[in-house]
Parts: sequence; C-alpha cells; structure tokens
Amino acid sequence: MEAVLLDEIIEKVVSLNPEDRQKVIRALQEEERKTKTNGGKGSVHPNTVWIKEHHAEYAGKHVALKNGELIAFGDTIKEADLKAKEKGVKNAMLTYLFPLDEMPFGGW
Amino acid sequence: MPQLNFENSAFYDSGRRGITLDVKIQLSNLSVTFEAKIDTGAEACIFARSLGERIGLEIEKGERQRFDTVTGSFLTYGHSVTLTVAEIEFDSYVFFAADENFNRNVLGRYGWLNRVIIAINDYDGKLYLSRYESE
Repeated sequence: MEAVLLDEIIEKVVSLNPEDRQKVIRALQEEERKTKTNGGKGSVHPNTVWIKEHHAEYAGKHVALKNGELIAFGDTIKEADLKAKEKGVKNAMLTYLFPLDEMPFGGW
Repeated sequence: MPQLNFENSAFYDSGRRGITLDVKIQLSNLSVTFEAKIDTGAEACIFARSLGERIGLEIEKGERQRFDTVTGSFLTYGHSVTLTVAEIEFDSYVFFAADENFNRNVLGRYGWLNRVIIAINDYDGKLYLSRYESE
C-alpha cells in the first residue's frame, strides 16, 4: 500500500469519534484473530483428532495410527511398529503420548 | 568391526550455530520447507506457529501440550503431518508453538530422531541418514 494512502487512512481513523474508532479497532482485532486461526477453516489430520480424544487412555505408550484409527500400541516404538506391521499396516504414524503428569523437555 | 550403511547423506553448514537441515512438512496438498536444528535434548519436534498455518492447520485444534525448558515453559499444539528430511519422508506428530513470536524449529527425539538412524561428521559438515526399518 502506498505510504500516502496509508497516512490518509490513519488520519481518518484518528479523527473518528470514540464510538466509531472502537468499531474500527474491533474490526481490526477480529481480522487479526481470523488470520491467526486460519479463520476457523483450517485443517486437522484425523490422527490428531484421535490423539486429542484418547491421549489419557494411552498416556506413556507408543501408538501406531493410520487415518485416525489406532492400529497398535506398546511400551516402545519398536513394539508398536512391529504390532502394526503384523496387522499388515505399513507406514503407520508412530508417536509417543507423553504422561499427563509430566512436562516434556522442549530443548535447549 | 560394526558397520552401518546409510540411504542418504546431506551437507550442512558447519560454520553455523547448530546442525541445521532443510525440513518439509505437508498436509494434504500444502507444504512448506524451512530450516530446523537437530536437538537431541528436545523430546519432540517443535516448529514455529506460522509454518503450521502455512500448510492450512488450525493450530488451536491440535492437542494442547506444554513443554519445559531451562528457563520456563511454553505452550504448543500437536498435529499429525508428513515430515521430510533429506528425502526421508514419514507421517509424524509434531508440535507448533502457540506464541507467534516463537521462531525456533527443532527436530527432536519423538517424531524424528526415533524414526531414523543418523551419523554426524561435524568436521566435514555431513550427515548420514537412514529411515529405521524394523524386520
């Protein structure tokens, strides 16, 4: 946007009465919120949905998921992976579900 | 003598801080490529919020997860994505920072390090990498 036009917009907003200025502020804040959250239209993978719903049941376990379904689980990634492969599922999404009462370390 | 064979190798700039690699994340037909540092101390892969948004994720619809650090904690949201590093691709569960000012990207243990075998030759800035394939 050209600097002159931007200055004009700012000047006009500043000269608004307090009520209208609040309307502008609310509209900008709403727009900003939409941008940050993809306007509520963003995607979520089915595996993410499964984890949100079942984390507590499998906390501390490794799970193998495919298309939002639990294929296998175990105490180690190897156990979950091998069980999933025994069931004929290759390339399952393997992840560890952190214990709910412990905060994992995020790095240095 | 034990021997390891690797599928892929990648050069990294050994003059930079940390071991930095190109990473691609993908969801459906949207993908984004960016740089991330290997962090064996991180328990998960954690990326900037904007990267998740760029592949269309609704960040707050992920699973809420707080991580600890030496100086305090921070909030993230977990999401399932397809992760590619040095041409090795698999579905992974990674975390995106809630705070838009968080701009670190790390490849940590769960979600990446526990899915690959790596060897690092830091002298030459070279990383050797294989997907772990169980029998």
